[in-house]
Amino acid sequence: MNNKRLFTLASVILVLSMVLTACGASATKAPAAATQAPAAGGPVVTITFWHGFNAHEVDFLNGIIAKYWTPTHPNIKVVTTGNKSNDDMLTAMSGGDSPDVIMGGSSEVATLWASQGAIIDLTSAIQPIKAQLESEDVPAGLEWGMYQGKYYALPFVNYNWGLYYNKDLFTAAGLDPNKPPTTVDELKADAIKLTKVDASGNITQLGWMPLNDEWRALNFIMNQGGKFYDPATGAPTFNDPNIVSAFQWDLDLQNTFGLSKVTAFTTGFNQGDNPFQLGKVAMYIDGCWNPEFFKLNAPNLHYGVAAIPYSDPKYANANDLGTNPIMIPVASKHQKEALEFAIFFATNKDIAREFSAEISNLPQITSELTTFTQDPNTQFFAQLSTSANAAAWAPVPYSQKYLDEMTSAIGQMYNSGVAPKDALDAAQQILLQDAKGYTK
Amino acid sequence: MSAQAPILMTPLAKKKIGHERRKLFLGLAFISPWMIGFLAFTLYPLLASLYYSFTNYSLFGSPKWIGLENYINLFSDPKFYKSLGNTLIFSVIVVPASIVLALGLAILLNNKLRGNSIYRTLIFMPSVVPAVASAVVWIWILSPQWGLLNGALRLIHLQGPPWLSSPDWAKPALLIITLWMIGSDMVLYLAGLQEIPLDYYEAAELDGATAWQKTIYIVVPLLTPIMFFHLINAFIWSFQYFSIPYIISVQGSGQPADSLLFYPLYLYQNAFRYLKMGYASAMAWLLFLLVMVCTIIILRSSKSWVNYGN
Repeated sequence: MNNKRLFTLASVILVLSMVLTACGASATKAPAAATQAPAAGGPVVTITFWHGFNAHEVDFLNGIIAKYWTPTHPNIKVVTTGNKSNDDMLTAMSGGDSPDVIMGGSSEVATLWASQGAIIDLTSAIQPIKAQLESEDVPAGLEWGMYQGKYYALPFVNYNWGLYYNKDLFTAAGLDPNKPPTTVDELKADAIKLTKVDASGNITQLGWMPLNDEWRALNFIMNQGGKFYDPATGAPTFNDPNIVSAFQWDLDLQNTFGLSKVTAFTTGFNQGDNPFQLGKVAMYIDGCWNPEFFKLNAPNLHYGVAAIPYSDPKYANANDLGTNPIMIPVASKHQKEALEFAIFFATNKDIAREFSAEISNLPQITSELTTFTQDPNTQFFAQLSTSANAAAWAPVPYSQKYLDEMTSAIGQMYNSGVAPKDALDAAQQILLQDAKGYTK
Repeated sequence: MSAQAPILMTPLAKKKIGHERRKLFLGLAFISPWMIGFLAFTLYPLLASLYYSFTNYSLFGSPKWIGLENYINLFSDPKFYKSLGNTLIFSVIVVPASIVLALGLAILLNNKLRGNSIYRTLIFMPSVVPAVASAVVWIWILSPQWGLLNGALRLIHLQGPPWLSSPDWAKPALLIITLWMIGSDMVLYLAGLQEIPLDYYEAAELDGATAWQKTIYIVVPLLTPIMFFHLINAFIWSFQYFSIPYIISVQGSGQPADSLLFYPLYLYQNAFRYLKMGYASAMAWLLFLLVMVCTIIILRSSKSWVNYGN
C-alpha cells in the first residue's frame, strides 16, 4: 500500500474505534452482592433499581438488599444504580430503557409523575397488604404517594423538621435552657433577648433565623394553621390568611432589628456553612438528620430540639413529613417482579429500621420508630412524625411549581420589600392558573 | 409553440448527463452522514417541538392539541416576563461589554513585546475551562465571607457585596464570570488586527495621529466585520445562556429572588420540573422568533456601520 492509502486506513480505524467506544460506554452499575444459586425450576429475572443516594450509602443499600431480599428471593436479581437525580429518572422513563423500580429524590415528584402517567397505579398490587400498610405505616408518610385516592408510590424512610435551639446561648441570655418557646409569643420574646447588635447596629448574634427558606417557612406556617391546598378540590390556597399572617409575623420580628441588617448577617455565611452550628444563630428550623451531622461536625454544640412554636394549641406539633417515594415506571419491562421487590422493600421492618439509622431519617413503619436509634434528639423527631398535625404540605401534582412560586414570593418579601399579602396574592393567581391543567 | 421533435441524445451527451448524475450521487453519498444526522437530530426535533408547542404534552401519554393556548398563557405569565426581562437586561449589558473588553485586550496585546504569548495564553485559558468547573470555582471565589474577591476588596478597605446571595449583585457576579472567559473572543480580534497593514499606521503617524486617533480611525473601522460577527454571535449566545446561571443559582432555581431566572432556565423548569413540554416548546419558539428579529435588525443596521473594505 502506498502512504496515502495507509493514512486513510489508519484514520478510518481510528474513527471507527472512537465511535465504537462511544457506543459501548454505559453507566457504571453496582450489582448487589452475589446471589445464591436460583431455586430449581425458576428463571432468574434481573430488575434495575435507581435511587439518588451516593457514596457509602450506595454500598449500604446494596448490603441491605443482599441481607434481606436476596436470600428469600433468589429468582429476582436486583441491580442498583445510585446518584440518579429526578431528571435522570425522567429521561430514562420517557426513553426506551427505563429502570424497573425508582426511589424519587423528593416527595413532590410522586404526585406529578402519577398525574402524567409516568408511574403505575399500585392499587391492585397492594390490595393484599393494604390494611397492613395502613395500620403499620406512619399515616402522614402515606400522603405523598397518593393521587386521586389511589396509591402510586410507597413511602420509604421519612423525614421532617423541628426547632433547634442553642442551650448555651439561652443560658447566656438568662433563659432556661430546658424550656424552649412553645408559642409564637414566647418565640418572639426569646428571639429578641437572644439577638445581639453591635455599636453600628449590625447584628452579631441572631435569635431567630428568618423564614427566607421555603422549608423553614412551610413548616412554620403549618404550626400557624396555614393550609396550602384545599383537599376537596386540590386547588392551591397560598394566600390563606394564616399564611399571610405567618410571614407578616416573621417580617415584623426581623424588622425589630432591621430586615436589611438581618439579611446582611445571614448572607454573610459561606454556602454550606450552618450559622446555627457556628453558634451565631440561637434558634432555627431544620431537618431530623442534623443530630447526626452535629455529632460529627460540632460535638461541642449544646443544643436541644423541640416542636416548632404554634400560634394556637390545635396546630401544635405540625411538621411536613417528607419521604423517599418508591415507584414503578410505566415503561418498566418487568412490572411484576418490580412490584414484588418494591412492596417487600417498603414494608420490611428490618430494612426500614437499619436504613433510617444509616441515613438519619425516620422509619416509615411505626413499630420501628422506638428502636431504630438511641439518640434522644432523633427519637424526638421520630415521635413528631406521628403527631396528628404531621402531614404532607401539598400532595398535589403542581407541588414543584408551588415550591418555586413560594421561593419567588419569599424573595420578593425578604429582598424586595413586597408586602406578604401582595406577594402571596400574586403567587396564588399563578398557581390557580397552573393547577387548572391538572385534574384532581 | 409548435411541438418539437424529440431531442436526440448523442452518445457524448448521454455520457455527460450520466457523468453529472454520478457526480451528484457521489456528492450526496459523501454528505449523507451529515445529512442523516441533520435530519434526525436537528430538523426532526425542530419540527417536533413546533408541533408540541401547540399541544399539552408531558413526555408520557400522547400530546393533546390545544392550539394557541400555550402562547396565550405565556403572555399572561408573570414569570415569562420576569425571565425575559432578566435575559434582555443581561444581554444588553454583557454583549457590548464583551465587545469592548475583547477589542481592548486584543489591541493591548497586539504588539511584539516579550511575554506577549504568555499573556495571550493566560487570557485565553479561562474560555477552555468547562462551564460547570468554572461555575463551581467561582461560587467559592464569590463567597461573601471567605471568597477571594471580597478578600481582595478588603485589602483595599472596601466592603464586598454579598454577590450570589443578593438579588442586586447576582447579575453583576454573573457578568464578572462571563467576562472572565473573554479569551476566545479576544483571539478573534487579534487575528483581525494582524490583518491590518502596517502602512496604514505609518501613514497615520505621518499625519500626526495619536494612538487614540489611530484606534478610532483605523483599527475600529477595519475591525467592524469581526465586530459584526461577534455582535450577532454574542446576542444569540446570550439569549440562550443556561449552564452557568443554572449552576450558580442553587439547583437551577434562578435564586436569589429570581434575579438569575433567565429565559432558558425558566424553559428548563417548565419542561423537566413541571413536565409542561408543550409550554416549554412554545417558549423555545418565541425565543427563536425574538433572536431572529434581533439578528435581522442587526443585519439591516450593518450596512451603515460595517466596513468591508475593498
